[in-house]
Amino acid sequence: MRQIYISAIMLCLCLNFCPPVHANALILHAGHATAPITITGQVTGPDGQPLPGVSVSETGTKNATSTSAQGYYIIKVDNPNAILRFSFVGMKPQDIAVAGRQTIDIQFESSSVELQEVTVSIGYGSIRKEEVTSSVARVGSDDFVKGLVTSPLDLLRGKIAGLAISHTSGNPANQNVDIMLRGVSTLAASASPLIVIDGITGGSLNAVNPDNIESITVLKDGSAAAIYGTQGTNGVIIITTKTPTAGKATVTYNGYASIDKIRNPLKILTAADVRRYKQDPAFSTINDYGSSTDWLKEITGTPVSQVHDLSVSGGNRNTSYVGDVSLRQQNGVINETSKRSLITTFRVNHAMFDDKLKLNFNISNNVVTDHQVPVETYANALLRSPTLSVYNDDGSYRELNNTGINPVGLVNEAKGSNEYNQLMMNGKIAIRPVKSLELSAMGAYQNDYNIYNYSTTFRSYAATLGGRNGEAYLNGGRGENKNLELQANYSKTFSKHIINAMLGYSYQDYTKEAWGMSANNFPLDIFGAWNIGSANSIKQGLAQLSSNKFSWKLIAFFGRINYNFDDKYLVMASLRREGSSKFGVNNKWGYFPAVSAGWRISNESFMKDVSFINDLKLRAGFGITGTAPTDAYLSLTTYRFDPSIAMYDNGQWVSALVPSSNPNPNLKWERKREINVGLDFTLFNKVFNGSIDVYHRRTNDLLYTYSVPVPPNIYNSIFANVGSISNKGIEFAGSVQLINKDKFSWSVLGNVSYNQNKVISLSGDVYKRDYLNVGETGEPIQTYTHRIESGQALGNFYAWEVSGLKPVGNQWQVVGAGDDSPGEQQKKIVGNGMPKVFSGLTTNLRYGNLDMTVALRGTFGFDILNQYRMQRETLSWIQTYNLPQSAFDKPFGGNDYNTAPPIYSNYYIEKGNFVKLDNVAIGYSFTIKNQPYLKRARIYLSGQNLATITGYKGMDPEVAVSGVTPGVDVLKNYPNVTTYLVGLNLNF
Amino acid sequence: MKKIFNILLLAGTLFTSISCTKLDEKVYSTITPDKLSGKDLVYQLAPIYGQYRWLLEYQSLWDMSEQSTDAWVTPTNADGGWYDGGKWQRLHQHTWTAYDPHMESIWNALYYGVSTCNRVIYQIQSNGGLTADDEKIVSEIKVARAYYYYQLCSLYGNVPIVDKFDQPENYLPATNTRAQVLNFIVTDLRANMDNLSDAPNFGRFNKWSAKHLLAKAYQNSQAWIGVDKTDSCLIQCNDIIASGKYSLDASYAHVFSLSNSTSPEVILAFPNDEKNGVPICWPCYIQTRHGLNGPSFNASSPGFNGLRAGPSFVDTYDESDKRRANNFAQGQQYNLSTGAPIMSTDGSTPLIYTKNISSFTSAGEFDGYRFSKYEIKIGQKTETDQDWVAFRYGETLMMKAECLLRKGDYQGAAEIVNQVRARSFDASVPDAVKIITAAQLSANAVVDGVSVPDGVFLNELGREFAGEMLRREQLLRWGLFNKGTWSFFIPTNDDNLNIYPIPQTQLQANNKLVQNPGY
Repeated sequence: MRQIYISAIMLCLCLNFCPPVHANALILHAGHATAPITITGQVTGPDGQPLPGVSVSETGTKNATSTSAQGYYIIKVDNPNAILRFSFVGMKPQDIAVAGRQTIDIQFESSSVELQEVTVSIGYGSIRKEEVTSSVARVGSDDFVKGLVTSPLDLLRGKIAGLAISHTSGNPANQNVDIMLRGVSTLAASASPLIVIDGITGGSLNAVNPDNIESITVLKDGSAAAIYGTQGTNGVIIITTKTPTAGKATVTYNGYASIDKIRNPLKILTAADVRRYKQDPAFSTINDYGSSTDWLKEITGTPVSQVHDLSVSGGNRNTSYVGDVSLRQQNGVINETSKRSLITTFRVNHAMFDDKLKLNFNISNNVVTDHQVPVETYANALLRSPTLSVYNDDGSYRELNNTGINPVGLVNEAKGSNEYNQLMMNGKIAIRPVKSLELSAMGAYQNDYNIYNYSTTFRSYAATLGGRNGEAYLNGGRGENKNLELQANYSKTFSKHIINAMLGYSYQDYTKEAWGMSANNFPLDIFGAWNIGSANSIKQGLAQLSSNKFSWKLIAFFGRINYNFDDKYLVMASLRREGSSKFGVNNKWGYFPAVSAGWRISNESFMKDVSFINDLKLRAGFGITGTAPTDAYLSLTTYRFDPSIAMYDNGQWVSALVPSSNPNPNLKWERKREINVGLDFTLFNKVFNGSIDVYHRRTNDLLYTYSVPVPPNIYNSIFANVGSISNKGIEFAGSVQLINKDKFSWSVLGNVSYNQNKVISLSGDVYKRDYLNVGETGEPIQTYTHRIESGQALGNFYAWEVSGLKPVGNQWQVVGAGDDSPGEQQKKIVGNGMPKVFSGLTTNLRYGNLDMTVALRGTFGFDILNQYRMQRETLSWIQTYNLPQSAFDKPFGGNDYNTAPPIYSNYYIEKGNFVKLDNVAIGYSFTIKNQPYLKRARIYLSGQNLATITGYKGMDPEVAVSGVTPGVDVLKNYPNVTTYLVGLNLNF
Repeated sequence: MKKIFNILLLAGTLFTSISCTKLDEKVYSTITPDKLSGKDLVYQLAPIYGQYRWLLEYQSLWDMSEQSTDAWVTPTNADGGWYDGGKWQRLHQHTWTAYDPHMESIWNALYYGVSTCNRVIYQIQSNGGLTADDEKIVSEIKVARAYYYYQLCSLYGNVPIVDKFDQPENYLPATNTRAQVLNFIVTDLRANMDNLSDAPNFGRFNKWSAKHLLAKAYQNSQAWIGVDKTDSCLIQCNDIIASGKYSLDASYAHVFSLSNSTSPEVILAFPNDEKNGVPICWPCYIQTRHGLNGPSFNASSPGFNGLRAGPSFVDTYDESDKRRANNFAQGQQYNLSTGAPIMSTDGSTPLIYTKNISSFTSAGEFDGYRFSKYEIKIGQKTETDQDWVAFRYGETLMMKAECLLRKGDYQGAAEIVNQVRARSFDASVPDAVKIITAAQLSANAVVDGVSVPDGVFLNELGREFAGEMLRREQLLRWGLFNKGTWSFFIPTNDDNLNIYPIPQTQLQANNKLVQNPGY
């Protein structure tokens, strides 16, 4: 066996290094032969292993065979100049000229089809990249962000024009990614894109191992996304996981370890600073408690995270499988925060009856346990006086009223843990009764259980200051998502016409159950959350129980036609009729049409002589998509029991039955229509690749919670379709293959997008508004942050403009307010938190065995509200709390320290522009020779969030920008981090 | 081609037979109207009363009735606390605007009550023929609604009257005049009060609490709409007194204690409960006490150190007046369990509340006396247990005394005043201090820097009802609300400020509303 293996390699090497002259000579020589030739040979995969089931055919004839279990084939050809085509699922087909040879051994070079023919998933099917007529972007695993990610969506950060993904927290348990496609198109409905995982609409990202993803495709414009109807407005993210590769079983190990460090920690006062300032008579009242504590240091560390991923894949021509186990242990910089997940995946593909019947089974399960500290921990570390000690002399935590909560006590004595289990499984059966028609049915089932428990000990703040000897919460939930998708695909080629047609039906049903209990005052400090029944508060009637359940349904019928004439003129048209139980009775169903067309200019005869253009395609599309409300039952009149307005009647408390929503039988989806015009091009011998897209999207029937008068309404707000908003923009994505040699390659990929947003109207026939105030400054200021106003862009900060501090009275001088206490009338637009430009730049270098990736990301044209400065940059708090060092700056170059009460003003609005060194990865692939078992080995180093160029004074200008309150650097509950990682890939 | 057609036909048949196209919403824990029946009436009634407690939550009716007066103030603390965009400063200095959050939160709370009343009446009436019991309940709800309208009339004046639930589609209520609103309240109360039970009921309206409310409406009629209703007020007060159902509590403190449900003086209360009361009596503890004060009561949450007593208001009390100690937390604070004096966190400074407030914009943390009228439970949770006294017999008596004053019967008024006042002084206190004479009542006296007729009575009203959400109405009846000088308030002399503005959000949502003059 080993000999065969070695000789195969030798042969391959031989073939590869045959000088061209030699090959030509062979061809010339072979030209004279006329008798049938029998050709034999062995086909091996990229790893050198024999490949069974490879189709070997003579092009232009029906002459075909396939390889044996050992990869051997025999084929007879009449023509010594025949061309043999070797094709195999998942491999780039190879056309080999026989050239008179009798032995032809083939090694497939790449397991990816990308090089030759990139197919792009367009939802309910896929087409060749050249045939795409709408705005669709695909990122393969090679181009993903390299490093440890908390969500699969993080892999796309900075990689797709128009798709802004922000990472705003270093919390390992936080998987919520701030994501926005082409601006904000909604006010109150979900801004999250639809996730489709291996064909499962609404698949759970939790069930996917980020290291197991083959590619991610994003349907950006309306003409592409309309096939997903009411779920399409925010774009559709189609995740394709790695498919089984047939052949001898291969085992892959991928492991990495990383550390996190707090990036750019906020500069706060140290104990020494406090004592220095206390010398100043102006600050003599500062409390000095006598100790020196670095609170941040007390609650943080440099934890090591690790990921181990082991997969096995193999099979034969008919049946192939892949199994994968991934253990991910991520530890956060704040002590006692972590997330551990164990993701197992198993997939089997089977084809039978000459590929007329295909079966596919897929199961993946993720078991997660995360550990969290109370959300206020980090804020308290910033707030608490550095002169306070961690512990009292008796070893208990030092807790005092009005000094914040001891963060070390929070970390050690308040434990929160979320355990969940995400199961996703699906089965698909596809029948091809005739060659041109395929019928398929897919059923998917997802089930997620979660249990959250939280408890505090007798040593905690809640006990020492709050008098609650132990608190415990135990909340559980179960979600169940069922999909049924039926589909018929028809494809036919008549001379120059290629038609693909698809009809489908989709049914989705979601049910969620949740329950919870909480109690406090335990007799013993040993239970955590696991003996709630023993709590004394139950006997006092102070424990709480709750449960609830809801469900919704979505049903759709849809169809699509793709027509291609001579690879020059392309048309795609689709229509979806969709209904959702969430909508009002008058508007249960809607239509979502789309049409797009493409013109491959480069295939026109008049372009033949334009040699520098390899490919040029103009495309345009129009489509209508929707956004459904997030919650069920919003169209109904609902009541609830509210204990907070219970009545005391004859010595008994009677719970109140109160309305909780107004009816809205007209409730429907937000309706977005979008025009997209794009140009795709490949130039200069395929060195330069790019595409430009221009779009205009307008959302009408915006959903928002309008406050309405009570009476006549029974509830003070109604969720209604009112208003419209527009986003216009331009996107460019391109790549340059600067050098592409065997030993040395260098490519640069980049994208940039510009978006302009405008609120057209906030009024409808019944509900009318000139503006809406949204956002929350938080304590102690307590006002809104943003104003949404018709005629203006979303994201305007609406605040007072200050010119300095008043000479007397300890107040800010608000422009326009004179000596009065400033009011609403003096507020104005002082900035905008919605970035205008997002960009990403990645360069890939490879020299010999060494490869390197550097990724930069830039975001421009926005302002940030620095909430930490706003809340803490006042010396009025200096007596008891810790403050940023900048609190001693004298505002506007004046002579006075700022001791005025915090207000929301332009003083805390800063320019947000930044360029980030987002990701650097360096890898080395070992040359494996004479190794019986090991086939490939690679080690790599990577860093994430390494450096930032910005004028912003806060910790990190990368703040949440999606939604209607963009650009607020909230007083975080977790610091941002830099991650350093070392990894190892092994293939056996 | 035919083959394909047949296959599609087969597939289509299969498909339609298994597919489901129904989109009804299936509810589990959500309550929809079709699930309700007559059996849940008691639960439906509950929010009518439960909502009253929300008038004392954060941004309360209490603030609007007391903090714009001489009695109370929330200055901005030196640490910036209670600045809150200036809303407390504006409330005290009468520079509020239609955008201020108090305007909206109380408008919403009151109209929520009105809406609930209308809805429940409709539900009872749509159940078919009304039984005698149903009629009684409807009357009670109308009286309860009149309380909401009373406060709307008092605060905002010109507000829409909506008296029924079933309205045409897209109906929006239009502004009524203050006189129309007051007339509606009076008419509704007169038409319904006699249908109510005459047995005392701590937490629900009965005949006597309805009459008390009617008396209050008459009492303020002159100040609100310029129509004197002194005689009508007197009749209602005399009815309540003659019923013998209520009497003065021997102890002033007991009326505001945790056990006040046994007080003979309470006519109507808004009961709170640490178990059932998510809303809390905000001014009773958390709004006013310093954070260090929590251990006095072994309380589970610290106070927020906001609300202070107006120093000049405190000065109207004689040192021997027991109400002074009851109504204000003052001086050194103690841990009530251990008796130890409370010190600052670093142990250097004792927690001593001082009467004066050093600055409106940068107040010292211990500045000012605190509101302590209501007993605080030892071991108090964030949710409080105090039952708020809405109407009490003492007020009925003093309303009568005010009527007698208006009618020139100073002797009769003095008798009542001294009857109410007596319990607040020890026997050893000399009569000159303890007793208010008819002569004193009839003379002019200086209140808030202005010499006014019956000023001694006004001061007595202030002392007796400190923090009972009556001070604004008292000052308005004496014309001092925009003319007096107190704490950090200088006269505005602007009668438009005698009513609050209609909240801007309501004007936005309902174009039939008219803003009050001057805003």
